[in-house]
Amino acid sequence: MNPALKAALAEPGYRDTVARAAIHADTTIRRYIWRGYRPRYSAQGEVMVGDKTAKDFVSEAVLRLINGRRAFDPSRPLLDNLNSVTDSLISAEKKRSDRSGIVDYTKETDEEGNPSDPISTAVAIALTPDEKLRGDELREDQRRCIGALIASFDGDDEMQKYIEALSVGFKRSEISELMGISGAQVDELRRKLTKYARKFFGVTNFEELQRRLQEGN
Amino acid sequence: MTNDEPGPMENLLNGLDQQSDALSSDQLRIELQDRGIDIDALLQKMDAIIAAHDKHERLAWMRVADEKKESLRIAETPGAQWSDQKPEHVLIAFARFLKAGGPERALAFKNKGTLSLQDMAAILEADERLQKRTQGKGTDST
Repeated sequence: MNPALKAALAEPGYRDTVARAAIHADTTIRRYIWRGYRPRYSAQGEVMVGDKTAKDFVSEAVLRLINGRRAFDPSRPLLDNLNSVTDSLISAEKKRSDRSGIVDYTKETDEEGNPSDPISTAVAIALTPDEKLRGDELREDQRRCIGALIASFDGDDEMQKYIEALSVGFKRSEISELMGISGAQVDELRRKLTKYARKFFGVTNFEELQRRLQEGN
Repeated sequence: MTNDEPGPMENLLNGLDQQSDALSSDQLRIELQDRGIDIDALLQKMDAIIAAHDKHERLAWMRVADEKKESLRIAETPGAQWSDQKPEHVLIAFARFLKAGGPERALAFKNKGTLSLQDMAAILEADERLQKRTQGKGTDST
């Protein structure tokens, strides 16, 4: 085992790092939902890609780093290393579980009857009108969901600004600067928002989110 | 927004993920519970993976020692004394030896003319010694 990895796994914060890696893997899977992926759930309610949960991906990542199948980068923290491996494992598993990626190869000939090279004659990869429409719908769903979330915190200006800042991709330090609040206050907003998490984690579209918000649980 | 750019909900999830750095152990546990993730089961699995690997590393010297021992055993085992065997056994073994070497070996020995039983036995013994030495080297290099 890489000595730097060994040292990282022996650090006292290792257990929290694994927990954060699990949150990251789970979030990565949930992000795919907003790209139209329809995941399955385990009996315990864990979101899955194929038949694997975030837990499976994290333990597989640790195993691969330990046995050297994936290189451990000692210049980066253990969490970054784990997240990098789980990202690629999840992406590969998702591709495997997608049923739309298989295109049969057929031998084609040119006008003179000579076999044509499928690589050189391949058309450029562009979205079909259907795919584009579906992509636009998913993005519109995301926008409507954010709007509904913000509206559900009516009267809580700080939370509304926080959600808005998150939705455009601001980081913790940027949010702190933007809103003129301390990092600890940003963390408190995060804690408050994730208490609400069940309402938007795992919803697959705007209607579902709206229903959950109306249920008020 | 292009298709590769994350949408607002994806950004929100990303942001929450990045801010998990600030969560305490208890907060992490609660958040994972909300997502249906049993962190204790995961940590248990991690511990088992690490322990198994540590054990594998600890015992690595034993495997190397076993391999060396085996290669020594092969090298030290006295070869079969073909000269003491029954003539029909020597003939069968020599025929097998010729067959195993392919047409080139068969041709080489054909050109040598008729071999005595003693010659055949000596050739078989020399071949076995060579084989053992090669095997010993092969084991050493792994």
